[in-house]
Amino acid sequence: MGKARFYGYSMVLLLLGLLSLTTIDWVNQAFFKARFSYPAPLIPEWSLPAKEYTVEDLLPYAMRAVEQTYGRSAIGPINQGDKILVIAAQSQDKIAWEAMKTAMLKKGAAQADLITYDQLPRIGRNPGWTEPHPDPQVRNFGRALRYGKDGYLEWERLIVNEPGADIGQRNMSAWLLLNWTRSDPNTTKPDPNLWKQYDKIYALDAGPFARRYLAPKWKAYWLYERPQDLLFPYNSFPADVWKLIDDKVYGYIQGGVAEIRHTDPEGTDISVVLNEAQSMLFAAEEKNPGHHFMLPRPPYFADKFEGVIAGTSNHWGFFPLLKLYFKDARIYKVEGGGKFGEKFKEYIKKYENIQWPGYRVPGFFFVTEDALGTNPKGGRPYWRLVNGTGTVYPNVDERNRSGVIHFGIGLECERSAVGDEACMKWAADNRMPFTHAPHVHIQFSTIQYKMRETAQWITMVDKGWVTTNDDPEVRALAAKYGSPEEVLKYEWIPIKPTINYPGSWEDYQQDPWKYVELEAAGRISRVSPWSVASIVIFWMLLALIWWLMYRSYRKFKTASLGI
Amino acid sequence: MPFLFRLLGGKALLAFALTSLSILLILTATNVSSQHGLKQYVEEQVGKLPWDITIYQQDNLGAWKQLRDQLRSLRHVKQVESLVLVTIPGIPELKVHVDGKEIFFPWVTIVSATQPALLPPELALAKLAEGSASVVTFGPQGFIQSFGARVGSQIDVGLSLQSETSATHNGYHFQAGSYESKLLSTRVSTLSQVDRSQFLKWLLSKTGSISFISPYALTLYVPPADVPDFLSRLFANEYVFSVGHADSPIIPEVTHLISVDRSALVSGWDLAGSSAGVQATIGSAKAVANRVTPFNYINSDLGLTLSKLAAVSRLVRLASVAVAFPLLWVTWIFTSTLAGLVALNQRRTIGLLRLRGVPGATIRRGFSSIMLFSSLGGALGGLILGVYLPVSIYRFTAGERVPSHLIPKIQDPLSSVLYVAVAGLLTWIMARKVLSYVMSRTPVEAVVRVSEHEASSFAPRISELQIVPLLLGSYKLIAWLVGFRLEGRIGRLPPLTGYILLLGDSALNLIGPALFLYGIISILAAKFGVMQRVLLPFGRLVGGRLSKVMIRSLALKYHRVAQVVLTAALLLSVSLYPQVSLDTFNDHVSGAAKVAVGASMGLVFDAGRLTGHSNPGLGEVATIAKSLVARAGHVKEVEEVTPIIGFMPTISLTGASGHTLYFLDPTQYLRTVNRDDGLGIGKPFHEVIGGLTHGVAISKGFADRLPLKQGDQVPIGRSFSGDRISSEMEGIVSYLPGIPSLAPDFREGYAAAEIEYLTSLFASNPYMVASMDTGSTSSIAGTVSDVTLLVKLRPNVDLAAARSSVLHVLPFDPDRIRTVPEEMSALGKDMFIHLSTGNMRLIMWAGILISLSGILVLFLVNYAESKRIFSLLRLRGASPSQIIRLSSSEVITTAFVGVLIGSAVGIVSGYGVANHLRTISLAMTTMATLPSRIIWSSSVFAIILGLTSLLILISIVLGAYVFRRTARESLQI
Repeated sequence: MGKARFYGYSMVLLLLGLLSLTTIDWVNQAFFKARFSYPAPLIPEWSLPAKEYTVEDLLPYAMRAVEQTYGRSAIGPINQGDKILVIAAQSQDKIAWEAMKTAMLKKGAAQADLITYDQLPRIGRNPGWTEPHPDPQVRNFGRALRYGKDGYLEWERLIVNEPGADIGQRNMSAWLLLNWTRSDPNTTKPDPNLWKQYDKIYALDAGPFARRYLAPKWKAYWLYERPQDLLFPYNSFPADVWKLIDDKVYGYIQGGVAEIRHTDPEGTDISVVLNEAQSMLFAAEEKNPGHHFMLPRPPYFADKFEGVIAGTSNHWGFFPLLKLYFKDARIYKVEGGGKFGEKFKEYIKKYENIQWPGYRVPGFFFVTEDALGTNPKGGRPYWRLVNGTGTVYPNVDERNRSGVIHFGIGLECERSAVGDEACMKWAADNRMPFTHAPHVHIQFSTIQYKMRETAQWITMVDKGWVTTNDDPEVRALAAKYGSPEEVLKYEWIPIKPTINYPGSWEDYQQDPWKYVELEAAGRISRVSPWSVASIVIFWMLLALIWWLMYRSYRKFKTASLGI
Repeated sequence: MPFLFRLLGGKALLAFALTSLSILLILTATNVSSQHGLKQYVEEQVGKLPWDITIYQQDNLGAWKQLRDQLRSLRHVKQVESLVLVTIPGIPELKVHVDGKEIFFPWVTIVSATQPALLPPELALAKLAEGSASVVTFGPQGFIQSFGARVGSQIDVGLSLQSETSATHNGYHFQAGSYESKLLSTRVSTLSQVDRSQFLKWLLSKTGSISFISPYALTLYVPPADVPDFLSRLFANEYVFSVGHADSPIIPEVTHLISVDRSALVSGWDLAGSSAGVQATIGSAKAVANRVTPFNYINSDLGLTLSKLAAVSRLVRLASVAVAFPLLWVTWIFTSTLAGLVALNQRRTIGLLRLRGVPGATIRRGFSSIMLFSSLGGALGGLILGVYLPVSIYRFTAGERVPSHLIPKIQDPLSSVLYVAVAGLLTWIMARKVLSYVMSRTPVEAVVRVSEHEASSFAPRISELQIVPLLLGSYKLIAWLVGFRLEGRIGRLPPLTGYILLLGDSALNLIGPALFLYGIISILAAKFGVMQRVLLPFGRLVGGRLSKVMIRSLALKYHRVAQVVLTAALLLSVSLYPQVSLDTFNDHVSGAAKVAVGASMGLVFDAGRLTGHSNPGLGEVATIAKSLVARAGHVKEVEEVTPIIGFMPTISLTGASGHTLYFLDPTQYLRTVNRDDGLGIGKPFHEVIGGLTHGVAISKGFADRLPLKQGDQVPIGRSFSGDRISSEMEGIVSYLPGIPSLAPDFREGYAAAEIEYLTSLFASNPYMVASMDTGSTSSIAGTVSDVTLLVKLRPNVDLAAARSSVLHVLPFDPDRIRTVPEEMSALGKDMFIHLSTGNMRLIMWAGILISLSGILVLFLVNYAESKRIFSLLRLRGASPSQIIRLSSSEVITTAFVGVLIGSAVGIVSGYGVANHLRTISLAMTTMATLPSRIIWSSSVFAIILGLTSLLILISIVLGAYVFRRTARESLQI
């Protein structure tokens, strides 16, 4: 082999070797037979259980948090002279609170106070009661930490309040708040009228309860229990960009939707067909920031509203793969889900023949919300899932990330055709729940709308990516705050074996928590040892070819020198 | 050593010095010309920036005037103006009263500016007194009916906050009693209709960023004097918005626009220094803003432009090596030939030295010292010439003086060292070749008069591997021709692979044509049979009787033939492609500008201003438009006039935003507009417009969203009773010449996302086109937004004079006037164009000079090799004319093949480069919608003819040179 050929082919071999390094993802796919067309997992450092923080460490993040004016947990705006009350779990971290308080005062608040749920009286269901509450779960509420591995415990929302005939179903913190505000001021400490002295109250973590019991003082949810809660970039996502994303999503809904397809690789598959009147009702649906109802909500049924919801997580935590089959928005069959699924079956049977006022058909378990998060910076709070939390649902933040869908199961008295008040009275009189309780989260949805006017299918969410994030106007507005790629980038993407990560789907659907622990430990890698081995073998093969070429070249050189 | 130096010096010294001088001259001049191109580009870009620094204040809005005053006091700050945009959610407590009647609005936006020019012309023209306002509408919003017909009579609008007096929550009475606070009380005197996307585009162009503008908002434009009171009242009551309304926060923003003293801070020659100076001012402004509120964002188009271009400037110094690649290639061929001459010259001297016992190491050292000294000297000369030659040219041709202290910044020491290293490397390779050749000969071989080894030792290496550059070069040329771009087609590849491929693709943009040339000529040379077949016809034509001798002679030294062909081809291609590129690109820019404006000029009128009220009917506006056409048509400079009426129907087919329906008179329109049939998709543009009598045409932006085909019924709007009105789809247009979109004033200061946004506004703009006489469209409910009068002037008419004549006869002043020259200035400017223009000229002239020198040297070598043959032929009775014919036919034949290949490659490359520049333009404009066509001016033919004649002349002169000595004398040497 001549000199030119030897050097030429050597370069080709080197190029092949370098290119082979870039194909590791393909090799992995070949080995794991995984559908890696879904986004790769991302576990940000801020979401992991981490080090100790000081107030100084947290203050910049707290300042960002109090500046946020948009979203259901927006602390801002803080106005000059505001008196602020925060009602938090007894597990509220002192450093996190000090940082938030300092930020609120810096922004002009005159006063910022904290009371914890364990300071609230647990004295019974009705105003004036002085005896300890008969229900041990109420008496002990918040004293034990909640962990993400116990996802099935989200049933607490339904179970523990059942004896509360006056209020029906709610979450426990809300119940305590209501009970406190109705207590006898002469006998109760702290003073039940205390909250009225404040301008803004931050409390609870989800649901419509605070709006019911603390309005008009209630400002937003309080999700700042631990230092890591402040590190969440969710809090600093620009309000105008977020609002524009929401407006764009609603723009399509308001444009008139004729059909909806919602699928997910875990098994969710929903079909909805709306007539013109139904699509107008859907267009007029309640608008929540970062919380879009992507399907019509009962009792305004669509012509066709059926399918299956499949997921492994909820506001609380994780459970084996649960499948909920529904028709006309009502759940009729449950598969899997472990203890969570068992409770579902039990309660579906319990309420299946009960007719709520203002609803067309009997039963309680309707698919009442299919809510889309729209903040790209949301994520799974591993510090809560692993280390436990007081009263905040450990996994509630997951739903806030763009593209994550949380289904809420159970009807809403607020939406009853007979009106909220009449329905609520009926629920209280009959000791029946009045709002949705359990949830199912899914992370890789694809949602398509067929527009009524044009018959064109629009992909609203593509494999978990909210497509309005790609809208040029959204990106141009995001550019005001930095690189739009960074501003709109998802910071957290979970592991789903065979969907976006090596592993066994069977194993995952039996025990998803095992994979969450892997995420929480920050040990994720999509590289298979087999892939590495195959690339090493390839390199060895290239090296062998090169050596043979080199020998041939040496021979040629020796021959040409006449030696 | 001095003895050796003296002995071996002379020609070798000159050859090495000349080589390094050429290389340094090329690299340095390329860099300086690129820096000059960048300087011009910076000046042009900075000239486009209306403001230099922007501060978005999103908190403590009560202190906005205070912040503005503090910014004004900063060093280097010349002017500060502010734009107020406050969007308030329509919470239940917010009461909007229109003439005393409460109306609900989902959002209310207050717009104001300390200088009217900060707002779009539609708003800026509304002269507002204190206490008055103008309603701004972004489309067919329902509330227009609340204002529309009554605006002329003035409407009182009041904004106030009122709480529920009997609100009871959980047994607690909130704010029981009366609670009311007035936020704003104003009198609406005008209604201004602005397309929302045009408004955002305007904001982007004026402030450097867009803002949140709700399409559903009641937008009130108020004078700046009314703003402070409004803001203080609003934020005193912000509490009302903040509790229980987290889904609808106030979105406040005051944009402070700052102008700095550019003459003190910015110099196009020193981008790094200018960038540092501007960044310091930005830092001071940020510090001031932080003192007022930490919740501010700062953006500086000037800072961004300078820092971007300072980085480009650094890159250009490195890239000069790649940009100058074709020239370096020519130089390398030239150098190789020169090396042959040096070898011929030094072989016998060195052989004799070795025979006399001088050690090889000493000769090697001596030769190396010569190389070192001569190349260093040449490099220094090249560096000085490379800087001062272009600088002097700029001074004498354009009167641009470069201060001496900026010279080290233009040609910085680091890149100078790099260039010297490149020159050193090439000279070293050449010296090594010469030395290893002469040292590898035995002394006896070295001293012989004629050596058969020399011929092949300095020829370019040719092997099958040359297929690689040929393939790479062909790929690039084909990609340019068919408009193929690798970006966007590598999505499925692993990121690193994609990145490597893109990097390689970018490199091919610079060296692709040279690789193609090298590849094709090397292959031809390697396959001499092929080359022979190419040469024969020319040989027969030129060589006459001796053509067989000539071909045989060429076959013996085909390496030289390949060199001549390659050099001639490079000469032609590097000389031609800049010219073809510039001609083609400029033609395209001019065509695109004409299509964008639609005619010689476009006059845009707000429909409300034409009718005197704000909800004008289509018929009413059409009548006024006809009268305007008639008046303008009487002006003597005007050949044709036609109107386009913009109308917004009350239907949403594409999400929240609506679409525009343009009404026109097809026959008159086709007579008037600058059009290109390529603007029609699926059929020629004139057929699409001609078919409007039967239905509507839709824009490509619309067609991309709606899967429609010709003949389908397309919903175009709703009737006054709410029924859907449809019409037949007649065709698709990629652009409708003359529509009143704002000129896309692209600039470097835009972030990529902002350019994407502008591109998307252009590419996805959903509109329909209908004939004014179509019956079904007369009953469509909606709003007329504007009327554009397209005016076609007679040939050779002065634009400025015609413009004033037309304006003189019209009863209304247009809101905007668009002309072709203005549009061209927005479209045609691009950094790559600036850089390329400068570089292309340099490459062309330097290419011509070096190639000619190379060819001359090649001819001399050929002559040296062939003179024995010529002498023998003379001895055997060949006539002088036959000898001259043989000598020149060898040269002409080979050079002619080179000229042919080079011309073809040069023209294709030039067209390809123009096509490439068109597609890499900052953002999509009308340029992208028009097909590109190859243009060559007379200068292209002049270049081909001139260079070919020069080659023929040289060959004839060299042929005659044979007779300088007698045949016997020639044989003795």
